Amino acid sequence: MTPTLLNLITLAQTQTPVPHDIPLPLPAPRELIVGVLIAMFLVHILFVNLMLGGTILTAFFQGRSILKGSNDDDILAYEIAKTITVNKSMAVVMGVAPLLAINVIYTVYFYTANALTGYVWIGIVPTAITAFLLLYLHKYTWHSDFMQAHRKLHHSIVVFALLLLFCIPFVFLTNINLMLFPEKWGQVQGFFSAMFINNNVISRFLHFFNASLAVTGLFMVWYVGLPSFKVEDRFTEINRAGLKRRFYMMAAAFTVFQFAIGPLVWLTLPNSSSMDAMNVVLVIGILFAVIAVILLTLELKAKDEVIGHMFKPIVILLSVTVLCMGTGRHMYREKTLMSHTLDMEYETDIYVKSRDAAWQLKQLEEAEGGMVLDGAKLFNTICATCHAKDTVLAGPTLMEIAQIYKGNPKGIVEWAKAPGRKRAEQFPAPMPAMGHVGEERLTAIANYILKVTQPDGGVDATPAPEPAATDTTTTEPAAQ
Amino acid sequence: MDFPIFHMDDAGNRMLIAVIAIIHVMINHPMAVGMMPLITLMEYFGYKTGQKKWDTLAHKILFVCFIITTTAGALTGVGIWLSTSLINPYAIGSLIRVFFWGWFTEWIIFVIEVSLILAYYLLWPKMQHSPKAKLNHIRIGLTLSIASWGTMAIIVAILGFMMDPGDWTTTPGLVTGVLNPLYLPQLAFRTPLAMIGAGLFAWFLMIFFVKKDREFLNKAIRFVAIWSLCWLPLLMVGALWYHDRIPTMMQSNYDVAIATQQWAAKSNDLLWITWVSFIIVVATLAIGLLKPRFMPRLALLIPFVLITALLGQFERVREFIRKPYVIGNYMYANGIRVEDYPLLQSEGMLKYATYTHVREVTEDNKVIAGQDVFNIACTRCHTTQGVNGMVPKFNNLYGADKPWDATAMKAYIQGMHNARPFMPPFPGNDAELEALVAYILHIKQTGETLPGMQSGGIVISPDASPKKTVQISASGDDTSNATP
Repeated sequence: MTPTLLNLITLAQTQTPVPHDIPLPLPAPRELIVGVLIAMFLVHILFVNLMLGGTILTAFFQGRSILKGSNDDDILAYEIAKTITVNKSMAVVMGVAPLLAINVIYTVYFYTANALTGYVWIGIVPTAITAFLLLYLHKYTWHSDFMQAHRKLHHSIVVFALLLLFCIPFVFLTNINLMLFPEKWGQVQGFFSAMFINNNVISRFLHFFNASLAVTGLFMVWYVGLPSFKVEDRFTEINRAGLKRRFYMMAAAFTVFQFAIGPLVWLTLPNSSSMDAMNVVLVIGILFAVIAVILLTLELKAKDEVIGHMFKPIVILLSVTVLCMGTGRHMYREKTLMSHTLDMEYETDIYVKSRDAAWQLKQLEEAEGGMVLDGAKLFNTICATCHAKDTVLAGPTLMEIAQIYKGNPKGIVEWAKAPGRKRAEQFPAPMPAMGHVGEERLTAIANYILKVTQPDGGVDATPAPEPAATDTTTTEPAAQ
Repeated sequence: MDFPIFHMDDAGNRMLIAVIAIIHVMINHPMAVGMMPLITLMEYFGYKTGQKKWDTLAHKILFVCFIITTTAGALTGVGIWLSTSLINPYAIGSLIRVFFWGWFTEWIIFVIEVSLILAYYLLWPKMQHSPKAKLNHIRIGLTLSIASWGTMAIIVAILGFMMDPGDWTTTPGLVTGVLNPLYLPQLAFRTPLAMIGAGLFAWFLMIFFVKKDREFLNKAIRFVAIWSLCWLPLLMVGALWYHDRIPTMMQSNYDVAIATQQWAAKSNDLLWITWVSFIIVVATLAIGLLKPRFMPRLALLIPFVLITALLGQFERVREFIRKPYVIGNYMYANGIRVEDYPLLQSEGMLKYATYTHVREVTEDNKVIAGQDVFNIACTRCHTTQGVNGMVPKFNNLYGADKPWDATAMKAYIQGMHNARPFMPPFPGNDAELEALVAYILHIKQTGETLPGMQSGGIVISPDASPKKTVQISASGDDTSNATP
C-alpha cells in the first residue's frame, strides 16, 4: 500500500462523517414510506400555507381597516381569522405523518441536523404554542369592548403572532437542507451557521412565503364563494364577485411571481443542473403552472355571473405543479444522499457483524463458564454465518481459504484481524475486523479451518481437538 | 456514538424531556382523554333534563380544553418526539422502526380526534336548533371521546414496551412489541386516572364558570363527584395490576425513583405524602357527593392540584424505574444496545464512534479522550457541574476539599451498576475508563463545563478503521498481508 495515497484519502474521508445507521430493518417497504412522505408532506404544507397566508391577510385587512376606517376590511379580516385557527390545527396534525416518515427513512441525516441546531430546533415547540395562543386570543377577543376600544393593541397581537410564525419555516428549512450535506456537518456551529451552509434556505423561504400567498388567494376564492359566507347584508363596498376577483388577483400575482423565485431556488441548490431526471419533472410542473396562470387571467376578465367557473381546473393544474415540485425535491434528496448512504450501509454492516460476533462469543463463553479455545465451537459461533466448508455464503469457502493459507494459520489470524478486500465484486459485503476475538481464539479457529479442510478432516460437529485447543476452559479471558 | 451529541450541561438533558412530557400528560390525560366523555355526558344530561345550565357549563369547559389541547397539548406531543430525538436518538430511532405502524395508526386517530374536536367545539352553537341536531352533536362528542382515548391507548403500548419489551427481544415484530407485559395494566391504570383528573379539572373550572348560582354549583359538584367516584374502584384495580406487573428488578429502583437519590432515604415520607394526597382527593370527592353545599368554592382547587402532582410523580417514577434501560433489556439509558457491549468493552467505544477527538487512549490524550468517553457514555443523564453533575456527585462521595483517588474512582465506576442498579455498566474498555477518571479529575480541578454540539459543533473522528473508498483503491495491492 502506498502510505501517502492512503493518508490523502483518509484525510479527505475525515471531512465527511460516516455514522452507523440504526441496525433495525425498515418497518415497511421503502417506497411506501416515501409515498407517505411526499403525499402527506404536501398536505401538511398546504395547511401551513393557509395558516401563514391567512394570518398575513388578517393582519393586512385589519391594519387597513384601522388606517382607513373601512368596515368591510374589518369584517373580512375577522372572517379570515376564523379560518386560521382551524388550519393551524390541521397543519400540526398533518405534519405528524411526514415527520414519522422522515424519521424512519432518513434517521441519521434528520437527527444529525436536529442535534446540530438543537436549541433552536426544540424552540419550535414554545414558539408555535405562543403563536397559536396569540391567534386564539386575537380571534376570541375581537368583539370585546376593550379590544374594540383599543384596536391597535388588538392588531398588534396578530402582528406578533405573525412574526413568530415567520421564524418557524427557517428552522425546518435549515434542518432539511443541512441533512442533505454530510460534508458540511463539520463546519456547523449552532443554528445560524447551519442556516448559511448554502443560500438555499433563504431562497426556499421566499419560495414558501410566496406560495403561501398564492395558495391562500386561491383558498379565499373558494371560501368567499361558500353559501355560508354572507356577503350581501354585511359588505357595503364590494359584492361576492368582487371579492372573488380580488383573491384571484392575489393568487395570479403571486403565482406569476413564483416564476422568478423558483429559478432562484434552483440556482442556489447545489448541483441541481446535473440532475436531469429531476429537472424534467420540475419543467413538467412549471408547464402546468403556466396553463393555470392562463386560466387565472381568463377568470380575472370574467363577468360577475361566471367568475369562479374555472376554479376546479385551476386547482387541479396547480396541484399537479405542487406534486411535481414535491417529487423533484425527493429525487434531489435521494440523488444527493446516494453515495453517502451506500458508505453508511457499508459501515453499519461491518459494525453489526463485529458486534454480533463479539456478542455471540460472549454468550458462548458465559454458557461454557470460561474462555473457549475449541476451534469448532468458536468457528460455529463467530464465522459460520458467512463461511462454510464447500458452500459459498457471504464469504469464501473454507476450502478456498485453506488453499491460500496452507500451513500458515498465522496468515489467517492476521487477515482476520485486519481484513482487506480482494474481491469486492464477488463478495460485496465486507468482512469486519475480528481483532476483538483475541489472538488465542483466532489461532484456534485458524487451526480448525486448516484441519477440517484436509481430505480426512470432514466438517462434522465434533472435530478432533486441536493440540492448542485441548484446554477448552481456562477461567480468565486473556487480555489482548 | 453515531449522532452529534446534543447536551445541556446545566439543567441536564432529562430535564428537557421531563418538562415537555409532563406538561403533555397533564394536558392530555385530564383535558382530552378524560374531559371529552365528561363533557359529552354533561351535555347529554342537560339535553335529557332540559336544563340549559348544564349545556352552558359543558360548553365553557370545552372552550378551555379546546384552546389548551389544540395548542400546548398538541405541540408538546410533537415536542416529546423532538426532544427525545435530540437527547436519545438511538432510542426513539429504534422505537419508530418497531412501532411505525402503531404510530401511523395513532396518527390516523389523531387526525380524527383533531377534526372532531374542531367540529365539536365550533359547531356547538350551530347545532342547537333542533333536538335532532343536538343529538347529532352529542354523537360527535361520543366519537371524539373514543378517538381521544384511542390515541392514548396506542401510545401506552410504546410506553409499556420501553419498560419491558417482553418477548420482543427474542421474537422481534410489531405484534410482540405491542403485546408487552405492561401494556394492558398500564392502560387500565391510566384510563381511570385520566377520567378522575378530568372531573377534578372540571371542578377547578367551576370556580370561574359557576359564580353566583350556588344551587346549580352544588348540583354540578355532585355530578362530577359521582363521575369521579365511579372511576375510583377501576383506578385501584388498575394500580394494583400495574404494580404487580412491574418487573421485580425495577422495584429495587423505587426508592430513588420516588424521591431522587439525594432523598432516597426519605422515600417513605414521600410515599406517605402521596397516600395522604390521595386520601384528601377521595375525601373531597366524598364531601362533594354527600354534602356539596359544605364545599367552599375555592376548595375545588385543592384536589386538582393534588392529582396533577400525583400524575407528575407517577410519570417520574415510571421514567426512572425502567433504568438502567431506556428500552428494557435492549438498550441502556446511555443509548448503547446491550448487544453492543461485548464489542465496545473489549475494543473500546472511541474506535467505533463517529464524533470523537481521538480513536485510542494514550498517556498524552487522556483528558480529551476522557471527555469523548464522558460525552458518549454519561451525558444522556449526567452533566459536568450542573444537575446530576459528575463533580457534585463525587464531591458527595469523596468530599469536595479532599483529593480524590483515581484508583478508587476507577473501581467505583467499574462496579457501580452492581451497587446502584439503575446505572448501566460502563460501556468502554479499561483505557477508556482511566481516561474518564482523568477527565472527571480535570473538570473538578478546573471547574470546566462541557458545551453540547448544538453550540460547539462536531469533531469528526480521525479515521482508524479503513473506509470503503480506501479499501477499493487499495484493493489492488492489499495482498501484502494475505500471501503466505
